[in-house]
Amino acid sequence: MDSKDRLGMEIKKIMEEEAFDLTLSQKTIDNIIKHRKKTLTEKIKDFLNRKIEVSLAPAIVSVVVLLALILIPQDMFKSQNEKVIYMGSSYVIIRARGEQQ
Amino acid sequence: MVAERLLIKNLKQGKEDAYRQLVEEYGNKLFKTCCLILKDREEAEDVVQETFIRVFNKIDTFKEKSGLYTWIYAIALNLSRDRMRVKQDMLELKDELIGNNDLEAQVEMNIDRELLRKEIFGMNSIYREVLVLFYFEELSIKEISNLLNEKEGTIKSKLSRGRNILRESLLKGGR
Repeated sequence: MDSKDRLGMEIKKIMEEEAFDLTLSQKTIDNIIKHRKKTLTEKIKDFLNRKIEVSLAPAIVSVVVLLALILIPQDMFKSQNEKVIYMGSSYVIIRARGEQQ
Repeated sequence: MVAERLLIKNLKQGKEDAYRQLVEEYGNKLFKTCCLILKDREEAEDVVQETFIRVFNKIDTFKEKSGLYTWIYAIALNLSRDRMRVKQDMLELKDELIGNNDLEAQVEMNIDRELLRKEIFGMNSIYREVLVLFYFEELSIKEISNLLNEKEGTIKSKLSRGRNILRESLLKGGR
């Protein structure tokens, strides 16, 4: 197929004239760029900047539980009157009432 | 080639500059071709936008077996064809008559450009698509065949039929 014949050259010229001043609008370019793939840093930032809606009651309960776990000493409910004797791979717990384990 | 590889690498890493470079380099070129094929500026803009969004989403799967532009082009042409199908502007290809030299000689003598312009943009897009790729984009038959995923014979046939339609219209002085 010859693209250099007169008809071909005229077709090309007409197409070039029609397309001469066609350019993408800035709005379209911005829309395109908006959809680009994000870098890892941007993904993390987006994740951290997300708005999260939490209802008040569960939030308060969670905070109270968390504070309780942090502030209450771990051995608070442990019996004060017990003694543990380690014997190699086993151990003996001696309580005030005299129970053995 | 090295620059293109770097561009692809940067696109895969999500670098904004690379995305801007891609749109600046290929955006208008693609837009012009789509406008010529679709005859509709807004629709062409939509197609270009959708094409780039698809490219961005699928850039990780791009295996670099073809050039980046070829890949982008193939996506754009598929999207354009979908639009043309919706508008029912694409007819099935029938057995084509191949060029008539006498007719061609007569037409070559005197071409009414305004009539030719009208006929190019009034013809079925199945033929205009190939004419745009061949004359405006200056792609070879083989390249068009790869882009449209059709046999070279089919492309030749469409090109020939498209030219004949234009020639006949010129001879008749318009439809």
